[in-house]
Amino acid sequence: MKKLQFHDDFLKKQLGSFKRIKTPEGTVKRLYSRIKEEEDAQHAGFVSNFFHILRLRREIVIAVLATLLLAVPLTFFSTKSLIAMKTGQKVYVVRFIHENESAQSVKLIGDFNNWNSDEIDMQRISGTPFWSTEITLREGLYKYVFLVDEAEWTIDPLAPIIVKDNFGQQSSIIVLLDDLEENNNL
Amino acid sequence: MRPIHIFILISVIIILVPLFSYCASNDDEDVIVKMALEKYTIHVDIEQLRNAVTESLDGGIPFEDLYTFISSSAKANREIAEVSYYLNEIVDLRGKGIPEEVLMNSILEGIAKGIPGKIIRESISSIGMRLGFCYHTATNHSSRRRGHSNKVELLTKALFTAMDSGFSENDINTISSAVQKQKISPSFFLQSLRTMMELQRFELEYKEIIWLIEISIDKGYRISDIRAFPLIFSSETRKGLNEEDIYIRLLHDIENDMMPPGSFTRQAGGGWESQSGRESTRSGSSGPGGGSSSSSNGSGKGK
Repeated sequence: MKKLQFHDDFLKKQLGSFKRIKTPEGTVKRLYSRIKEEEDAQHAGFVSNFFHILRLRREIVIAVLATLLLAVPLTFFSTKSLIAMKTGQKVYVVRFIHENESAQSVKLIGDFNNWNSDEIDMQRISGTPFWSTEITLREGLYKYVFLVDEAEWTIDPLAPIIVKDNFGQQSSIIVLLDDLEENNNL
Repeated sequence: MRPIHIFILISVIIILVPLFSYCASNDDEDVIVKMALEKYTIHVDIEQLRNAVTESLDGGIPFEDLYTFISSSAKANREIAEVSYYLNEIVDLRGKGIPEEVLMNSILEGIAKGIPGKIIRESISSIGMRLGFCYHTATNHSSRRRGHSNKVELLTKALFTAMDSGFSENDINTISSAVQKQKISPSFFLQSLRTMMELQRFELEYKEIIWLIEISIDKGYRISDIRAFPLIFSSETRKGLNEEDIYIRLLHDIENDMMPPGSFTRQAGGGWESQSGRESTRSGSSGPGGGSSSSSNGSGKGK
């Protein structure tokens, strides 16, 4: 406390020794308005501050843009897990029916499930000899067969096209194309 | 921040991105190898398996496709040497720019059906050659419009299936030339191939089918007309008519412009019928390969 008092007295003495100069008219007003402006700038939102910094640090902006320009395409082309987007393909819901009275299980196997016998089990329509399943497929041609009781490969007699596979056995073909798309000149 | 700092920052990012990608691809490799080892119930050489997977990923086979392929092979306990051979063939085909999906599916079909590896191996070269022909033909019909690659892939697969069903290269070339002469779209070609394959259900020879489709294209028939042919055959045979007679009558009407394009009308019962064909009683048309200015090369294999 004593120290502060000494300090104040010293300041008073020093200030008293200064020559008094009359300030120009409105100086105090201008000083207050400037302080207010700076306070407003400090209280302005994050966005304006952000742009203010960007204006001051042009190098940072250039660096970020250059990095994005290089990194985004590189990441895009090098990422293998990106799903290949096939544009313009229509989707069809297809119901497969197979008639077999004595079967214990019927599976649908083909190009659409990479010939995996674990994926599509057909369900028996109760009280009938018919087995049925419904799947969603994109536009295209698909080769398929029914696997009866895990042992017997059976073609679909309802399929409009039956072909021989490359190993001498028969398979059915389903074609999903838009019949309306026709005669478009090249 | 000085320009040198910016340069260093960008350089570090450029190095890190491929590095992350490389690490991610190594993860892919591990995932596939681990999955395969879980499925195999026989002893396998892990290094050989890892090499096959790495080479396939480096060869551009998508992770999902490779995963499926290895999974099916492992489930069927196929030897790693056999699987490596298949993968090399697939990578080779891909390297030539030919869509590998058909070959991959054919091998998977063989594996699923329990076909011995020796037979699958033997069939691969002929599949590859046929695929090459089909892809070349499909690209001749391609345009540079949106979805072009999808159309080429689809057309390649349709051509391959048509050849599987017994049509020869000459048959395909005949229809391809007819379509190109009329400057009509790949979709038209695709639907024509579909019709050709569907007509095989009836007692017709390959050359007869080719002739019918070729002359219809030459006469400017719409694809909806051509698509009606199998329905005409099935509805007429249900009436007890002989397939050969139906064929001769249909061909005669088309050749003599008795059936103007767009003349097929849908019946109330759901079937299709030719307006002029219904009244036609004449038969004895020249048939395939004879008596017409537009002649088929008649290369189709008779049934």
